[in-house]
Amino acid sequence: MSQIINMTDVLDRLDGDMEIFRATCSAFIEVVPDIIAELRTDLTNGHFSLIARNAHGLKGASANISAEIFLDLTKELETQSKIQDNHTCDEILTNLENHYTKLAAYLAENDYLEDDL
Amino acid sequence: MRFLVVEDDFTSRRLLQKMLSPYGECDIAVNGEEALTAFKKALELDNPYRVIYLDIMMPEMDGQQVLKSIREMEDEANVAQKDEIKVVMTTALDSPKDVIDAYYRGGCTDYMVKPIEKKKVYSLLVRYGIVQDDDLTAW
Repeated sequence: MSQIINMTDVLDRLDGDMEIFRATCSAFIEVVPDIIAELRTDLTNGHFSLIARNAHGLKGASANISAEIFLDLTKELETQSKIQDNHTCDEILTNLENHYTKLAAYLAENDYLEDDL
Repeated sequence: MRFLVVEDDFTSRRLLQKMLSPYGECDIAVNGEEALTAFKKALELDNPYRVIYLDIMMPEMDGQQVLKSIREMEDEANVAQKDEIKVVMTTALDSPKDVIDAYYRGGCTDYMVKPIEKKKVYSLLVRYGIVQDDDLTAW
């Protein structure tokens, strides 16, 4: 079952380096809200190729921090945007927006962000 | 020691920058055009990068086009084959064909699959003689 953050996976990949993990989580929190907002605008305007590109970018970003649920949603969004299913894209994007709020809170509560954030 | 990280994804840039910073200066380019400008300037100033980490999938100019241009610039500048810059292509797991093309047609040195593993970055630095195999203190 997918986890908010799979710590075993990410720490194995980063050789247990919490400093790199925090820096990458902080980068994620800095940029992702703007990308999600862009996705919403692109969906309103029916720009599916831009949605696919941004979903692909978010997929890579979430994989970097092993944010598994977020990763699953971005994979699904990328797939559905390629077949231009507006209704399903809207549902997934809403789930992504809601999950992002949970994920950001989880990272802050667990001290996974750099101090200046 | 200078590295150039070419990535359109902000988290991947930060990740690589943090991993490489103990070993030298790490410049960033967010697209292919910026990468070629940085590479050209480094050549002109005779202060070349030792390794370029180049994302294959980028909008507008992709990693393979950047790699081709880098090798062309080296040819024009008469850079000896042994002194050619090491180019490590970075790629998502779902694009193996791009890697094969880059390897056999574009002249990349190595590749790394994303999400990037710290041990893989380190093993390549050892292979290029940038760090010693037993130099684990910085990690």
